[in-house]
Amino acid sequence: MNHNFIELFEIKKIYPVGKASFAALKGISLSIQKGEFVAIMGASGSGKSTLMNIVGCLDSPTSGSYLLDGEDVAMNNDKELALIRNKRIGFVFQSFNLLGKQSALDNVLLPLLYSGDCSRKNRRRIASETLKMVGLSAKLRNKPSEMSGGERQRVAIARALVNNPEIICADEPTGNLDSQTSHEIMEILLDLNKKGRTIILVTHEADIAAYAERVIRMRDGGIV
Amino acid sequence: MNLFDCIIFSFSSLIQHKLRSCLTMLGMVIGVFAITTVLAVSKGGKQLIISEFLTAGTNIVMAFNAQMETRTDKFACLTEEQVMAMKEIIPQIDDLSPVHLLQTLLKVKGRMKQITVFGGPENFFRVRGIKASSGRMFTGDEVVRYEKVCVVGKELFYDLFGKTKRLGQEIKIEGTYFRVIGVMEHKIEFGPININDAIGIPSSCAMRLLGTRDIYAVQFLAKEGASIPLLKKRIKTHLRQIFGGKDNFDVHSVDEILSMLDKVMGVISIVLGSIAGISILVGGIGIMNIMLVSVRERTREIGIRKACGATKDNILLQFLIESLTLCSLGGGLGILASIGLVLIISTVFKIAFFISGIAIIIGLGFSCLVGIFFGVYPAYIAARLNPVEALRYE
Ligand SMILES: Nc1ncnc2c1ncn2[C@@H]1O[C@H](COP(=O)(O)OP(=O)(O)OP(=O)(O)O)[C@@H](O)[C@H]1O
Ligand SMILES: [Mg+2]
Repeated sequence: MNHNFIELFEIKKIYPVGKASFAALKGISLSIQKGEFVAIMGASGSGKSTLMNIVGCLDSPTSGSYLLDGEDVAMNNDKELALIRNKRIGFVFQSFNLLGKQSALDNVLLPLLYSGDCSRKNRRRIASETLKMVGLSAKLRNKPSEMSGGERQRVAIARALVNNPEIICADEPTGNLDSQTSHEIMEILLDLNKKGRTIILVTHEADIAAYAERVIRMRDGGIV
Repeated sequence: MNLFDCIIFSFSSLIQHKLRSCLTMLGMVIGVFAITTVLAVSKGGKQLIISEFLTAGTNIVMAFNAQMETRTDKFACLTEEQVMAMKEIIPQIDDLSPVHLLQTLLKVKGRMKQITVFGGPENFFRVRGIKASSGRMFTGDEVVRYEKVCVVGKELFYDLFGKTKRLGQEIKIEGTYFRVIGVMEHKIEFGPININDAIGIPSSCAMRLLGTRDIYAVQFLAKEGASIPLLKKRIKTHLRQIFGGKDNFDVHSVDEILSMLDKVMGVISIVLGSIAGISILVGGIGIMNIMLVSVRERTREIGIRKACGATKDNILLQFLIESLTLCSLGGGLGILASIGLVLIISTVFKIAFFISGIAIIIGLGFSCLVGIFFGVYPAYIAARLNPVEALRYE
């Protein structure tokens, strides 16, 4: 392999704030190898989530280039970005972001629905297997409101995993959990990393960042 | 994501908000209910009136002098010979009969009332298509023998004699007593005589009472398959010749009343239909309103879906199908309600109202169109949400 898996060059994200503008990312260059486990740390407001959203193709940079597996995706259109989010990237958020009125199984089914390349029966099988992998085979029918925070985060991880993506983006996945549960969640992510997935993790806590091979520190929209 | 999944999704999200979905649908239910009921009732009513008119006979043409004051005019009446000759001259005529008209005062339900009395030959009833509802009509023999018999329209008979329904009573017409031998069945009003409220006597007696043999009205029975407009035209031109170029007689047929009626009913149903259509529109605006609220309320859900790989089109389709489902479900319920009401009306009033396929198609089609029209904007708002902002929305 003669290129970096994720290659950011001079990425800027500028938000208009009234008549002025605010640069949340001030020209970030960064590369991440396939199978790497990277933690991003930094003060609140330093631009960690902004960077993560761009890496995860949820957002487009104002300028700069982003090569994902050798392909420039910085200026991709909505459809292309949606396809990447669906197939290649799984998201885990601090606030879980599950559909509150749907069961764990239905939540995990979501990415499979949008990828639409297997039958209804297969989808259910894959989704329940994925939930089993995160240790939730007994809670398929539970709604998020009927589960603990740790269980909800496992559902979110199962959902991120279900389409078998190469990259997992986790933005403070343990931010709402106690330390015991946090470590359980981190064990799952570590295990996924061992199975070859690239993991990008945003965290404030040093003991959580310790799971990663490499820590990137940010301040005021730049890497230090 | 295929269409079927989309539909299932929309249904489940509508079921999750049962009360809201039902209330939103209500506007549509009422609109479609109104439009299909209006269509059914106006169509049924039209058919009812038309079938009523058909009993008057569509192959009857009447020619009569409508102006009483021209009675002194020599040219304003026909002789018996002139009338009989028309049968030979105009080939479309199957049969004809002159009609002699006079008015008489009778005591009806305790009040004096002017009653139309017509005199005709015995074929009057065949030409006009009148049957006896009880008793019999007078015969040619009775006409020749100046027999003082009469037939009475059904309504007048009831008014005169009540529900006893006994024939054989006598009615005094202009000083002469006539014996009732029959009751004429109900007929729609047409031409100068309202059969239901009239008395028929032999033409011979009528001419004696009138003191003249002049004929001011003739009725014609068209031959089977003959064109009525053509027959009317021929009668008109023939009469004009007789009257030296003047149109002293009006010539009318039942079908011209029908076509006028058709136009009037058409206008009525268009007006009522448009009012109902407006209520569908109002229902549609209600749906748009709710969909906009729903999009706002579900901003985070939209963000989650986008993070899971939903494209703009996926989101657009999801919300569009939701409003379409609301509209078409509401429309379907409205049609069902309308069918129910129409069934009740037709059994209670014993009238064959029914909901046509066209009415159902118009109702459903209109509600679906409204669903798409008022659903597009909210769906578009939802689709173009930025995923990051949507996820951050609280
Ligand atoms: N839509 C926006 N418009 C304007 N400014 C924004 C917008 N989104 C983010 N910002 C700003 O960009 C900066 C970086 O935000 P970001 O969410 O990336 O911070 P963060 O490092 O993730 O912080 P935290 O640790 O609190 O999550 C912040 O100062 C924020 O105010
Ligand atoms: Mg953040």
